[in-house]
Amino acid sequence: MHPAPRKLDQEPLSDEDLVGRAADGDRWARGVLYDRHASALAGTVARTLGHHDTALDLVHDAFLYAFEHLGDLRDPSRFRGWLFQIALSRTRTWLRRQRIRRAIGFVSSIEDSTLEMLSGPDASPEARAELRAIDRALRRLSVDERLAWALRRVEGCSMGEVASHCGWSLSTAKRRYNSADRRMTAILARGGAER
Amino acid sequence: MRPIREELRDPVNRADLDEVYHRLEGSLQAGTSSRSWLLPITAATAVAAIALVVWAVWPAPDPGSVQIVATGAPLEHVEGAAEPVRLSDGSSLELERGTRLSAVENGEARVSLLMSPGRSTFDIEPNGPRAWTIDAGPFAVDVLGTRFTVERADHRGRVSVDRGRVRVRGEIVPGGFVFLGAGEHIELTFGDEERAPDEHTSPAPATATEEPGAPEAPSTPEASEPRPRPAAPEAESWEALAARGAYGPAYSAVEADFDAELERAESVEQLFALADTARLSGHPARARGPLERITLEHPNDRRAGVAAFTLGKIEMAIPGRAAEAERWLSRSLELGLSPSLADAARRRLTAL
Repeated sequence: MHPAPRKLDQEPLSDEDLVGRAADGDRWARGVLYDRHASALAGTVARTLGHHDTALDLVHDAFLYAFEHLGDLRDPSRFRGWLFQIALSRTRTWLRRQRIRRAIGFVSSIEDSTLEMLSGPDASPEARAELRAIDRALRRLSVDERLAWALRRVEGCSMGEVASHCGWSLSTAKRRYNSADRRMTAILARGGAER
Repeated sequence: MRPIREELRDPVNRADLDEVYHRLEGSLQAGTSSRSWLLPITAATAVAAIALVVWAVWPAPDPGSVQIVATGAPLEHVEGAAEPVRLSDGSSLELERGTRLSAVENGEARVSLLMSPGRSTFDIEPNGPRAWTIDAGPFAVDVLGTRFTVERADHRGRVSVDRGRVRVRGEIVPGGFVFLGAGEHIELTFGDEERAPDEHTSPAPATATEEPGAPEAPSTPEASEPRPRPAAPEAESWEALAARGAYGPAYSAVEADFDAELERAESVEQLFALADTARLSGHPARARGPLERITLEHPNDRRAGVAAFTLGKIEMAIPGRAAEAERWLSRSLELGLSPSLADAARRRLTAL
C-alpha cells in the first residue's frame, strides 16, 4: 500500500473552515479565529476609542457575540468583516454614551490610548503636537464622522472596508468620510483648539 | 497616504489578548453573554482570583474525561506496567516498560496523548464519543474505535492496526498522511537527516504494507488506491507550488537553491514559506534555518513564537536533542503564543 499524496492538515485552515468547526463547538477552531483576528481588532478599537481597557472589553464582547451567533453568519468567509462590524457597532454605542456623559459633566474614564499617547518614544515634539491636535479634532466630530475618519486615515482602511466595518452603504461611508475630512481640515487649520 | 497607525506603537499587547481570551472562554463555557464593561475592574479581578483559588484547591474532575478504572483518577499520565490500564470508557492501554503517555487533552469529545519512545498497544472502544490522537513526536495517529500498536524508537516508528482504521500523519509521512486498515502497518524513519544529507534526494522514508495472514483491509480510496503525485508544471516556481500546498514538488524545485533562497528571503512570509516547504515535504531538519531566522530577525512578529514552537517540535522528533527541544519550546513561550499553542508547548515541556 502506498500513501495518498493528498494533504489534509498541512495548509492553514480558512476562516470559512474554522467558522464551521467553531460552530460545532470546536474550542481549538475558536482559538485560532481569535488568534487570527483579535490583535487587529483590538488595535483598531483601542485607537478609535482612546481607552485601552474599554477596548479590550468591547473586543471580548464582540468575540463572545460572534461565537454565540456563528449560525447567523450566512457567509462564513466574511467572518472578519462581520466581527469588525459587531465590534465597531459597540464602539459607536460606547462613544455616543461617552459623549452624553461628557455633556452632563460625568466623564467616567480618562483616555489612556490617544494617538499622542501611542506615539513612539522617538516621536518628535512636532509629531506629538500634531497627533494631539488630531485627537482633539476627532472629539469634535460626530460619532459616525469620527469612525469614518479614524478607519480611513488612522487604520488605513479602504472606503469599502469602512462601509463594511460600519454596516453602511459605500455612498454613506464616502459621504461621512468626506464630511469628516472637511471638518478635520478646518479644525486643524485653526490649530485644533477645543471648544 | 500612510495610515497614522504605522507611526504608533501597538495599543494592546500579547498579555492583554491572552487575558481577554481566557475571559472569553470562561464566558462561553458559562453560556452567558458578558457585559463585563459595566463592572468595576476590581470586582472582576476579585471574582477571577476567588475562582482561581477555588479551582486550585478543589479540582473537581471533568465529568467528560476518561478515567483510569483502578484509581478513578482522570487519565493524565501513564507509565509502562505489566498489566493493561483499563479506562472508564471501556478502552485499554498496554505500555511496555519505560513507555510513557501524557494526556494533552482529555475531554468528552477528544483525548490527545503524547507518547514517549517505546511501544504501546491501544484498544479503543468502538463508536465512542471521543476522537483519540496519539502524538508520537515525528508522527501522530488519529483513531476512532480500533486496536492498534505504536512503536517509537530512536530513528524509526511503526504503527500496525489489528482492528478498525487509523490515520497516521506527520511531516515524515509521505504526502502528509496515510490511512491504515486492519492488518496493515506503516514503518517510518526519521531523525537522521543530519547524518545522511543525501536523504533529501532519496525515496520516501516510509512504507506501508499488509501484515501476512491478516484479514483483508476495507477497501477505501484512501487506504487502497494509490494516487500518483501530480506532476509539477515546469514553469511553476517553488513559491507557487508551496502556495497551493504541493510541498513535495515545491521542495524538489527549490532543493538545489535552498540555501540561496534562504539567504535571499527577508520577510516572515518568505521564511515561513521556505520552512513549510522543507518541513511538509518530509525534510524537517532543513526547516531549521528559516525558522531560526524568524526568531532571531523578527522577534517582535507575532509569528516568531510559532516558529520557535515548530523548532521545538522538530527537535523533539530527533533522539538526543531534548535539550534543544526544551530551549525552543521555552523560547516560544517567551516570544508569545496563542493560548492553545502555549498550552501545547507547556505540555510538551512537561513531557520532555
